Amino acid sequence: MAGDEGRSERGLSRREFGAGLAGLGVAALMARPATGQTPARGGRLRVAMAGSSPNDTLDPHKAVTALDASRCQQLYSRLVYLEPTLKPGGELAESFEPNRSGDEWVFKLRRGITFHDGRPLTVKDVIYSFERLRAKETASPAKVLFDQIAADGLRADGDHTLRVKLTASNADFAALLTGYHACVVPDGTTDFGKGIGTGPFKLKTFRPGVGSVFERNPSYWRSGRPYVDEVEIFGIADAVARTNALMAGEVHLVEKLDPAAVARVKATPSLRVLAARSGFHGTFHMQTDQPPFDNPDVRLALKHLIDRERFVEIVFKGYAQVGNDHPVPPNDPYYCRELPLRAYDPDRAKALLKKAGHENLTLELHASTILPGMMEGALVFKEHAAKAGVTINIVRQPSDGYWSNVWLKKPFAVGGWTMRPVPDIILSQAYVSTAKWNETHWKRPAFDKLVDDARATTDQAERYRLYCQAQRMIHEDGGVIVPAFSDVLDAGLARVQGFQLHPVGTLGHWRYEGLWLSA
Amino acid sequence: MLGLLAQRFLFGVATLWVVSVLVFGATQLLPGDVASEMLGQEATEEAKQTIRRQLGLDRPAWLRYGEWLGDVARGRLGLSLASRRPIAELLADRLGNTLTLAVATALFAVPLSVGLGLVCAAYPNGRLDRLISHVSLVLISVPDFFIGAVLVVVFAVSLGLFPAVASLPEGATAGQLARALVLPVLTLTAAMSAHMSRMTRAAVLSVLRAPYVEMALLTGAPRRRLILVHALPNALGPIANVVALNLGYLVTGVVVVETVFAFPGLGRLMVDSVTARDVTTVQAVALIFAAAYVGLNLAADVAAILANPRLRFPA
Amino acid sequence: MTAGDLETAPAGPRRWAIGLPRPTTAAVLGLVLVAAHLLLAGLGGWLAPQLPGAIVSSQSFATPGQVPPLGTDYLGRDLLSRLLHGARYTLGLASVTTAVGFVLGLLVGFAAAEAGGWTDVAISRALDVLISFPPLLLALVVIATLGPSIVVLIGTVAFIHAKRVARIARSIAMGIAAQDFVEVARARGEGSWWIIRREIWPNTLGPLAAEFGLRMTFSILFLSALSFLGLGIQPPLADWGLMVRENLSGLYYGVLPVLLPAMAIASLTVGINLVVDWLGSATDRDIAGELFR
Repeated sequence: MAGDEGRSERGLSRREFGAGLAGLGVAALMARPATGQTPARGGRLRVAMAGSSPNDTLDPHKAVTALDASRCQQLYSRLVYLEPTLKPGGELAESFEPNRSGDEWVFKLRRGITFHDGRPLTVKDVIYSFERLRAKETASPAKVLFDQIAADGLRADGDHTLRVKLTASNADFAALLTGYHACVVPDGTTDFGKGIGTGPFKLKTFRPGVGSVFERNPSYWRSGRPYVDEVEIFGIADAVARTNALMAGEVHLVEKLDPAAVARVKATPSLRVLAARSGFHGTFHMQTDQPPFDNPDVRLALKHLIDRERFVEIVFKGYAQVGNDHPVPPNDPYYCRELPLRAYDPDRAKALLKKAGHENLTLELHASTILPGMMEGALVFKEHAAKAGVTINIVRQPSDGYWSNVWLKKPFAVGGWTMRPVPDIILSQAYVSTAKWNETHWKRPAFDKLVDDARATTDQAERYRLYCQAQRMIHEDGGVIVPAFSDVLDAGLARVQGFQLHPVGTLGHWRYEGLWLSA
Repeated sequence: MLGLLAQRFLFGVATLWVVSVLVFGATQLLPGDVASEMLGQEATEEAKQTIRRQLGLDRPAWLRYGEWLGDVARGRLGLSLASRRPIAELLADRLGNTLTLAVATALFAVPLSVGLGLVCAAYPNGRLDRLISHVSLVLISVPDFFIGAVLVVVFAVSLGLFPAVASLPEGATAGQLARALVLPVLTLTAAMSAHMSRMTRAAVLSVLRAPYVEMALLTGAPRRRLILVHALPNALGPIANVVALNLGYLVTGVVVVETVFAFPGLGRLMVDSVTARDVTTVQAVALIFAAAYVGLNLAADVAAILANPRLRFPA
Repeated sequence: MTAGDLETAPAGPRRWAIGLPRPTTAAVLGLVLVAAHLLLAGLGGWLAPQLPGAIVSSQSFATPGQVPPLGTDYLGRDLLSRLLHGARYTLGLASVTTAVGFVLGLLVGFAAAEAGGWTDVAISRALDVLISFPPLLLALVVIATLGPSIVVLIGTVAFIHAKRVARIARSIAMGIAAQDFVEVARARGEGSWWIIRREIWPNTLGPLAAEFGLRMTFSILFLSALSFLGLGIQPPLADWGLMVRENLSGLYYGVLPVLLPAMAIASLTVGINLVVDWLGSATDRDIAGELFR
């Protein structure tokens, strides 16, 4: 069991959606035990996450950090769950489907589900949760996604059927509901101190900034699960301390393994590296309305100045996929396979810069250590770019305040994005002309149309074609350099069984209901 | 003497007030605020404004400070801006942890250091004295996180004798707690004991030069009696002083050790709160730090006064 | 057993030169270490085979056999070069910080002692308050506000030094100002500045030099602690404290990338401390203990 087993596959089959047939196979989806053993019950699973903060909250609609998300995953459930293959599967909803034009969806809830305090789950709870998610007062980070629901678009049809009308067609609406915010809470909840939800675990104790303990929910609707008696989640901010805790066997799972420690973990039989291909990526983004980045030749030149294979090796120790200067990762079904990979070509870059009148360009790149690999990536970029006579001076910015003061404000900076379940989300959030977080200030109406059309149609082949065109546009003309998609890199004790790798989030998307501890 | 103490006490309170003003002022200068840090990358202007309004951050600074001061005077520390839970709860937890570590370290390090200092003073320039001097010199010259890291690698990961991480899990027994504290205590002792032992040695030696000690010597008093009975009580002033300062350091300056061992103490709370721009928590913790410094300094002064009869009864 | 057994420094100061006693072997060792480090800091930049940022190997923590001469660090950079370049940063930064803080503190402390009266009281009280302000909190807030640039680091740590140095300088100066020869000078009508320069300063040289050494070690260790917390010197600069931090996760594979910078720090600090001991033994006070106040 040693070694880095279990990278999820590349090039998955085209995603089917809409008919929600996944609802039928729900039990099979989760913990098909990897070894075919029967799960043992009992024990307390200890999970060490990378950092904790006084901001820790039990309110799922306000969750921001991975730690918040992991807590919410134990206490609450969603209508729809994202499978490792990036298909939405039914969780609280046993089926879901859109109408032909894709602007109205019907969700049928499972019957017999109760909250931790015994109240039965009905459609009213779902409506309350969704309305809360888009209420201004909640200030939820997911509000933009839920604003797609029409003003009076949530209607109950009996106790167990929900009809949702959208402001515009969206073939990916179900996928939006897999986000870690979209949790269902009891109708009328304002105080989340008790963490009442429909999730596999109930809240036992919660100390913000320190840790939390959860105990098994005996009336969980997936009977038989969860297997462990308790889950304890706490934060160890220092990467070295986290690794030490794992090596000493004091915790079962750790998030964000330090790549420098990977070889050691692989060589230890009682430990396992848990690496999953993912769409998490760092960006070197240039504001396309600022000189010299307003010149497409300059942008293209800079895109040729990273040796991507070496980048993956040095920064991520091989735990990453090479990127092609757009935000869709190779393990996404909509990844444009026909687009050739960008090569490291300092000569071509030099020629382009000369043509643009910017030989021996000197630039300032703003970076910080706020995301793993960001600083190292900037350093490697600097070394590689020097071969074409381009001098990149790295301006080191403090981590706190990076998102509010540096990102989106400096003309050339490093950013990072977690994996979104569907390309529509990242393209809408960062690349369309009206995007809230348009790092590159890139505005192309033709591109906007591609994204809108792809969102509205339910024809798979057509969507692939449109997204491919969109990726090509960003690849050639956009202001972003995406050298790599880093893997989700976690680690755990070998005695943790039933672990399923997942491309989104960390630690198997924090689903611990299917885990058990062998002797 | 009572007058002197009262004066010091009042001055201490004034100091605390000034510190709180300075801290509040400083936090207002920090870029970003709790709303932007809370929302992180996914922040929208609208969401930030909503949160600011809910937390009352849109009111003027002097008003907020005044309110805070009023609350503190009545013994209420308020709510943490980040988690909206009472700070008193949060502090009680962390302060308890920090004090546990501080007391455990003090109980181990102080007798050890003072004892070593006395032994060195008894046989100055002897082999033991020089050995201890050299070893302690090396220990204080190496960064404390390095000592901590080496201890963890050797004793926790390789030998498995002690836990690598001292995060005090739920429901830990006293025995588990003790084991978890061993390595942090050793790390802190390494850093502090050199100062305390050197001071003890120097203080005792300087007292030993006094004429009345020579008298005792001439009357044939054994070395041990000389040191423990004649010299030590008079050297207590400076020794108490340095011990108090080190205790102050234990409460306020051990962030590095807390980080290495993931120990949930006040230091980490301070760092995390500044990062999260949780102004109310920062102020509360700063107040505790300052109170600890001031209080321990006061204790050190009192010890010095009590130990020195001349100061006790000023002419 | 004689009275002599119970003493350390000789009963009356045996002056050797400029008021200092004869150097012991330990003191000589200390001077050698310090001199070696100064040399390293001065020449290191030229001797290093690589630039500190150059990535020479895709293999992290390569051993000295595989990649000469000392192996690589966690990012594949040459360890020897980074050590040599780092000397300049560690020593240079600590020296400048201490010097600035020292001068500032001396000026304030001597001025307070000289002025006397209300000015003195005001300054002393202000110093007491400032010293109660936890240094780490100060560093945190200032660096979070102004960013971890070298200038900010120097300013912050120098300020932390200045507070304590001022206190000490003042108490030393007070001790001396009360002496007769100062009274005489004042009676002669000499101005304050002259008194400071000609009377006070030469007599405080010994203890102050010792204090400087101690402040240096504090600078080095405090700066490395700041680097550990991510607040100090930033990558990709080569600084010994930062190097210990960066390579800590590789402690299993290669001890060298962590051990060598730590030993470099330790040898410098030990050297300085040995010299401090020697300078301090000129008086019968334990400078280390007293100045820790």
